[in-house]
Amino acid sequence: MAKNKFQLIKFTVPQAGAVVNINANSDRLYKNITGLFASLPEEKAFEGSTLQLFVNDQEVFPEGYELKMITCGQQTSPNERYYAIEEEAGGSTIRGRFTDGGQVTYPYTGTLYLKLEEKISQ
Amino acid sequence: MTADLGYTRRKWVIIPLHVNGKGIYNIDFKMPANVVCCDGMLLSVVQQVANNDFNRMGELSMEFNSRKVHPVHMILDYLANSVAPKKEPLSLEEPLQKCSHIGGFYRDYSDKTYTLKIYLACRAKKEIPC
Repeated sequence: MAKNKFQLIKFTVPQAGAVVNINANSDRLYKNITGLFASLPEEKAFEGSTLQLFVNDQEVFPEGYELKMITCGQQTSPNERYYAIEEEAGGSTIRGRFTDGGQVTYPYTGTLYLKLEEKISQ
Repeated sequence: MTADLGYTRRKWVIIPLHVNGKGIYNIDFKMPANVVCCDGMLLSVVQQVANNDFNRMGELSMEFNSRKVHPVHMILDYLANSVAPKKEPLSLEEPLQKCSHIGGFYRDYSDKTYTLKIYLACRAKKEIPC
């Protein structure tokens, strides 16, 4: 069994300027969240889009934090793409608020990738 | 000067500057009380038109700890409003006094309308009121 896992949190943006609440729990079989990466279907969708994020009610990103700050293009190698964080996994509460700022085709689906490490042995 | 860090965690402080043409825009921002250190800084531009006739966007000057230290004074080249290679903060490692102000100015050279966001990568203790 792998020692790390990539957990995907998907959210759908219905229209321009939409505010989408994200509520999820991290995988309870892993101890730590060590990385975060955001993906949207079009690069233009990042323009002006923001993400406020909390893990276990601890602020990770404040209101107005642009999503483009936690993503990068194809020119970055896959193992360096993740924004490094140190948060507790083990079923922790992931609470977010995505605000759309782009002018793209709606609806679209965005994805937050959590990099989880330290599998809890059962 | 060293900061009493104790148990701290990453806290991003965002200072947005709404730029509407050439001119000087003052920065006067009160830092949250629980912030003890500014590790670094990132800059981002929102809603800027394409770069077609200028290379230099502006000049940024920032003073920390209620104008006691002056760690940032820089010319900003054009910042693309797009997904870039992974961004690492410009290192500052500046200890901050409790409830201090960040002052300074931004001088626009481009004569465009946009929002410049200054992201300060800080370390913060648990919430403390000023």
